[in-house]
Amino acid sequence: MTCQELTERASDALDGHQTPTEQEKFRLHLAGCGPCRVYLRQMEATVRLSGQLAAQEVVPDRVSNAVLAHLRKLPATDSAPAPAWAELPAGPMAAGLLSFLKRWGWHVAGAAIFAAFVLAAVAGGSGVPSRTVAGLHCLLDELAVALAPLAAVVWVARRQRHRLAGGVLPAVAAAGALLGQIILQVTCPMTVVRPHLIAFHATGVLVAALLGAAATRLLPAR
Amino acid sequence: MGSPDKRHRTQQATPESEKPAKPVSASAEDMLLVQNILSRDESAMLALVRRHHAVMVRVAQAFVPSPAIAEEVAQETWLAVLEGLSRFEGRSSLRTWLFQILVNRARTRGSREMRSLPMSSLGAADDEGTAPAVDADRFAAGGAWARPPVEGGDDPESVALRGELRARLVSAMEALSPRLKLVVTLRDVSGMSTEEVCNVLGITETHQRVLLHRARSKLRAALEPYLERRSS
Repeated sequence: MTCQELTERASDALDGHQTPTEQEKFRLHLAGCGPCRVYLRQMEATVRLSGQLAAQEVVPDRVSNAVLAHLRKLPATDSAPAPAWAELPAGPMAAGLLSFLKRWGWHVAGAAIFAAFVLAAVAGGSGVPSRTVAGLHCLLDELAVALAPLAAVVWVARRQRHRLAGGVLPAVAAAGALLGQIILQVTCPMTVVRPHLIAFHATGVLVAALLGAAATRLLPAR
Repeated sequence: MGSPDKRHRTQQATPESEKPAKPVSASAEDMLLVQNILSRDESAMLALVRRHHAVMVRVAQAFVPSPAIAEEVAQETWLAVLEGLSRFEGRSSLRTWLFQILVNRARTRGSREMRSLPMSSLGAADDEGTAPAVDADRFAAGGAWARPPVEGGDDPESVALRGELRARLVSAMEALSPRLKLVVTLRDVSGMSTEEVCNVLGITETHQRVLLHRARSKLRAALEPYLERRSS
């Protein structure tokens, strides 16, 4: 490596953008060349001095005042009034579902619905459509029971201006669905049929948790 | 006939550094700062403004025709940042996000003022890529120094940025082409990483390295007489 070549690589060397071979050549040249060491030190000094350039500049009061005034005017995120429909019992669910669809896209939602129908068909057994209907009834029942605690937690959190941690809403929704499951355990005559139990009762809990997660994504930002 | 084939080959030959940089996601510190600002912590917001405003104005200047407009763009950016802060998800660092908003706005404003700077449309071998780091006449035929740089009275590591040296650096920075100024401002003045600079400007790592090398070399050349002369 010549001195001239070294000056063309000094910047990359300072940033560590070198292959081990290049690095070794660079190091060898520097070890035997005083002027190139001076050059590299000047390069380092240039980078360091550039870094001091902005630190000494002051922000005009006009700017900081405008920014602070804007910050004060901003609707507070945690206590912002939610849209009226989000306060209805079904609101958080609908909002959560919407944001889920927005985030994951309709194809994933379609796949989920398809999977649900396949499960329903499997659990429904051969040629007994009423079983599928009964199964969907159980699923919706569980989701409906999950809705109440979910809405309550969201409502209280907003009242208290409390920011919910990521796992809270899914856990609450899942717990609600489990509660529904316990009730159904008594009222549903088909809980003894294992496919029915897995496809509708267990799926209900999962779907509830999923909706809780989706609700978490959307609601605190409102 | 041959063109798709050629394209395919070029893609295969693309080295790691030609690929778009991976986003650097936000640190816990960033997320905490965002939380604090959202809960109306004015000192947190002021600290953020103090840290970045001067650099933001410099960056905006590369896109718009006057310093006054650059100030305006930077100030508007802060308001836009406040509006959008509750939607900040930490997919990039806060600084990257901030400067992406700034660059978008400055670019829009610049093209409205008839001075656009299409960063991505430039190859690495534009006018800035051809000048040597040090004037060729300072080297002998074999590439060894003929007129080598000289160590000044002060150790360059302890030289402080003030007075004449500062003025010289400022004017050398101003004299850089907008693209060189942009890269060296983000990387060295603001202290961003290579990845962050690439993400903000939408350029490849290789292009960033070339531009940064040119910019630093020019700045060093401008400071050389001062680094050599000064002595305590």
